Amino acid sequence: MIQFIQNIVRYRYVLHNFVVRDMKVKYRGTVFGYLWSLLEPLSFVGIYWFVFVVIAKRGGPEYPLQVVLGILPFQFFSLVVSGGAGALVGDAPLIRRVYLPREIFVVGQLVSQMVVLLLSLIVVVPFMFMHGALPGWRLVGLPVGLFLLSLYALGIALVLSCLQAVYRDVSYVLRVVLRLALYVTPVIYTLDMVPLNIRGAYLLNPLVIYISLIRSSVMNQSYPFDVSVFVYGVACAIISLWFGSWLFRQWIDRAVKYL
Amino acid sequence: MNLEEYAIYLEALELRFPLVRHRPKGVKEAFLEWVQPQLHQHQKSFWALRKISLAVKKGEVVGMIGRNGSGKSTLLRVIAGIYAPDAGVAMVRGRVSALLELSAGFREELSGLENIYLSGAILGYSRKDMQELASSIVAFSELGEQIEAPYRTYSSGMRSRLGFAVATAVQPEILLIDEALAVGDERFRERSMQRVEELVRQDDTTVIVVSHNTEELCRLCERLVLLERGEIVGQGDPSDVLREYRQLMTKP
Repeated sequence: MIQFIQNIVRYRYVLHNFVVRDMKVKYRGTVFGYLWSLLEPLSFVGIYWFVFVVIAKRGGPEYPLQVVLGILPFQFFSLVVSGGAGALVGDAPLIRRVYLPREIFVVGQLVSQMVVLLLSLIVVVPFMFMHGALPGWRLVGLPVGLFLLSLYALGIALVLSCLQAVYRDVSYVLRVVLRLALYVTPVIYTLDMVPLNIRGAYLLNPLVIYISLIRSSVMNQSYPFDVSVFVYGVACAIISLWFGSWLFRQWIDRAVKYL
Repeated sequence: MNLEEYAIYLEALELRFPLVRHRPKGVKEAFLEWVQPQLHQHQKSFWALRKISLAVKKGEVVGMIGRNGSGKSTLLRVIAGIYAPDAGVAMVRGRVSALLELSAGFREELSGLENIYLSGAILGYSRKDMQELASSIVAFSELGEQIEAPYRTYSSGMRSRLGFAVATAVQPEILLIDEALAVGDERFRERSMQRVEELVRQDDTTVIVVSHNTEELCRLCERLVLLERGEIVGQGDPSDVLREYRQLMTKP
């Protein structure tokens, strides 16, 4: 993991270039450009608000804010994992021709998505004013939550990137799994709606912890779990990256031959 | 033996490639390969390089010849660090600049100038380093105003010129050239040849050239290496090796 971090630092110029390139490609040829980063989550909020509040008559006035704070980090996770998994295959022409630490391609996806997420987070502001839910000291939990979520996602993406080089099926499996993850994570609902009798098992999914942490931090509400759960979340993030970078190192030489 | 004096030192290097058609075809095959790996090992891969031993001194210029598919480019990629050998030793000392494919790191949607910075970064140079080099790269590539246009609008000659200009401008310690000299029009070819000769003459730049152009190889190289089916079958004085090569080519 130390060598992994060293490689990233040494090749930070490449990383920077990759991210700039991703941003340029993302908005090239669009009329609204950056606005799409705001419109897309807003449209999701609209859809879920309609289904959840209007049809199912659940959730309170804070629901739109809660949803947007679930959607944005979850979408970030989902894009880092699927984009990271496809990073080696996507940049195969480059990987076959020049030597670069291959981690760069996966980490590039993470950084790009982080930039997109931070830009998108601005949509939260009007919702906060709507509910008078002003940020407080708990806002320090936001960078912590995002950081843990990043480490967790990166570890998974590293493993999947090698697997996808050999088995292109990975991207299809991933689509199903991520769809499932959306529903077992408090994205379109909140953690306190989860029945207490299954809460323990539910919290085993570290995504629950990161997303709830981010949500409570921004809304300045008390955290819906205790310290031991938080420690478990931190452990999951570190283990994910440690194990992911270790396995990546084991597999990458073989994976490159399939590109 | 003192390894310090070698820029490239390969010993008993082997590289295996998976056969594309032996990607497991279905769940059943994947499962069988997983439970009985030894049964399936032999049919899953082929040898791309075998028993490669090659020592190149710092500042030496070595040419590689061999028929198509003999492993020349693959060997360059191992030296560049792209493929890790399955067995043997591969030691490469110094900053490698590879002209494996002239425009490898270039992006269609970025401008020529932006691509110069990106390629520089890939070769390990910071933005500041590249700012100093950029003007000479633009001048050598003869792209002029076009350097601000997106790369996708470039003709193939323009692409090669830019690629060549970048790869040779960065003063590599080890330069790998894969049939890259035949770029652009007559005039640019002559200039690029001169550029390579300049690099070759510098005592501290080690160069490996892959080419089918025997005249070019004789002009540049002190030593030639002949590859056949992933093995080194001859090396030494250019004229001797070229004779072997011609003999080999007459055989089917």
